[in-house]
Amino acid sequence: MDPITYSIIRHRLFRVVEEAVITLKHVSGTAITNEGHDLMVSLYRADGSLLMGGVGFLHHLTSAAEACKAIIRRFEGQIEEGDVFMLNDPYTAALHTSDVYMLAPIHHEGKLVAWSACFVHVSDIGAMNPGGFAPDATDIYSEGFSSPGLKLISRGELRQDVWDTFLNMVRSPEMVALDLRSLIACNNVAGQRMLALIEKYGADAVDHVGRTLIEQSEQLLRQRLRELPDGQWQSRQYIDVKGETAKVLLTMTKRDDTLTFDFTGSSPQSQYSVNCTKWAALGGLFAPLFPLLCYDITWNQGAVEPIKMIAPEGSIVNCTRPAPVSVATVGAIQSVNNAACSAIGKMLAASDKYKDEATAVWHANHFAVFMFGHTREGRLAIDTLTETFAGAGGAKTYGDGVDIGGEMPNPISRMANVETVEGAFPIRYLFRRRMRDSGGAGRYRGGLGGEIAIVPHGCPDGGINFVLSGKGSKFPMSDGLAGGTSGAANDYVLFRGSETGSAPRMETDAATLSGKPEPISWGVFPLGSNDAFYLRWNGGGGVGDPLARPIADVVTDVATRTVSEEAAEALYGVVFHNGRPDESATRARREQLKAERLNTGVHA
Amino acid sequence: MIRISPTLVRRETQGGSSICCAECGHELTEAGSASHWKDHAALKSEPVAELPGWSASVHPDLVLRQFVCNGCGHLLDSEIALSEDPFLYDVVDG
Repeated sequence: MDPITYSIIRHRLFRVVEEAVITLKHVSGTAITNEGHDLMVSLYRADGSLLMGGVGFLHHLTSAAEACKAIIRRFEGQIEEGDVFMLNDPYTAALHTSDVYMLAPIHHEGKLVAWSACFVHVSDIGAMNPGGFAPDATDIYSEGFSSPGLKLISRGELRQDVWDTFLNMVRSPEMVALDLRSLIACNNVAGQRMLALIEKYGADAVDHVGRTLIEQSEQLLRQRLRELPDGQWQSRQYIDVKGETAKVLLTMTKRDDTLTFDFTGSSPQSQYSVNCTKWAALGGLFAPLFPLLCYDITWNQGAVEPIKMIAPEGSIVNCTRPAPVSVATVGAIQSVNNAACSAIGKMLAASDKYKDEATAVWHANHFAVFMFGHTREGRLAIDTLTETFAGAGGAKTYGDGVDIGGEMPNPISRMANVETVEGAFPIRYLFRRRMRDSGGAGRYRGGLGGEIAIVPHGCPDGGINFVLSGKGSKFPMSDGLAGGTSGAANDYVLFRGSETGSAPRMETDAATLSGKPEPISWGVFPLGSNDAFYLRWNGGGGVGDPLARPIADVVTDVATRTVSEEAAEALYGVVFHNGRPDESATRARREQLKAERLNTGVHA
Repeated sequence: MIRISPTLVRRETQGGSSICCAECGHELTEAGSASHWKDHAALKSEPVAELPGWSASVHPDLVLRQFVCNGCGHLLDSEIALSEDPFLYDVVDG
């Protein structure tokens, strides 16, 4: 094939996925999809292997491949043109029950030639807690509807009995129906565009490009791995739930053109729903691997081949049925993601050629707050605080992390406008801003996370409730690199019973919030008319020695309320007097801090 | 001299090669020896809860470990860990 035609088909495959994402967003009506971009669309080959990884949450690229393969096995001989399948069982392929995969075979002249697959986090899945994350769940049976694969549309006809049965089991069925329709529409567009591509260039040509792209990706990733040093890098994450501390321990070994992620030593599966299954763990490690090692390589099955994962069965990263997993995406999966990001970052930093691709860990701790309650119009609403998708960039080996800079596993994540949330839900924001001192210290500083406070506003029931799956307040998770420290941990505080009476609340920061503070992290909580909920999220990790950060940069940090004067002196050794930097005191302080390292430090 | 991290290099010596501080060249340990360079660096360990910007919810046994070159005081690596947990050992072959 001539290289121009090859490039055109390759480019068109990208565009198929992009147009399908646009379609999905046009149909879906939830903030978590439209604002947070908690979605994914990808194309798969006829055998279910990844053909073209799309945007959205990258954890799903390999899991949806497994979902395609599970459907192929289950429905062998019964997969027909116009069918659409649904799958959300975590022990088959999904990450957790509320991330519903919709998979559609693409036929050309009667032959199965490809699959399109997509997911959104549906508004509700019928778990014991609204919104899908179920901190109260004790097993998979209490985490809502769960299917290892069913045919939702048969030869173009919706199976109304299946549709009605599913919607009969969820809260807010009208919104869930919209979620499902958005997935169906997304696959319809992907299928139509794929067929148009095949009509124009021929099935053999498109298949040839798909196969060649996969071969190229494998060759290119193996070549990149050969250019990186052999070695072994370790990373450790802590997950705290109600006093139980679990660990995700990773030893990543690179030999020649292969990379092995070994999670031996990780904690046994938890009684809480932070566990993940093996397919989810695999997705978790690929989420940083694709952008960090395959930034110029097509994300497909070829990039999967050189990678091996060892995840002990019965551990928190490969739990066994019926362990609960509904919080997996912000629990063990995210910790796998963080550990892999840290280990890959250290491997890249060890290479002269690739050191500029290294990064500290980005926003490492989603907080998963799902609010539920009646709107001013009397409708039951369930939705998430999309600030969890706002993230924070990890520092690089040449520059600071970006404040509120997104997250590694979802290149298109973002948060909703305050006004959008207030318009859809009976709450009011007291403030939302960058969180000073939350970025990890270093020669290059981690990007800041943020902080918010919300109060009920105009609730017909006098308040709302929210589900909090908020691990991460006891342990920071955004690891630094080469001496840089982690970004600060999350924090969740309920301020009970403000005495402002009927006067509007006008507090502008955490220090002035009225009411009795009650640290919370896990469970379902009421937010009454006199209460406020304060939340802050982690910053990105820093890179390098904080004492090597240029004084002028720290002065700018303080002037922009990125770093406090207290942190500037304690962490960066930059001294301020009356709001101005003191150069001689700074020199002395930095020398003092270096001496303290040596004098108070002991040989390990 | 071969880079093994942003703060460490491996240098050839008469007897083989050594892991050294990239800043000052101070030798920390022999490359390939049974003991890791972290075991030969100065270690400063302090409770994370006492650092500015951290919430009161942080685990009381969580420490910031800073591994420091005993030659020049340059920070070589850091890790945050429960005090009873072992060091994280990274090894670059060669």
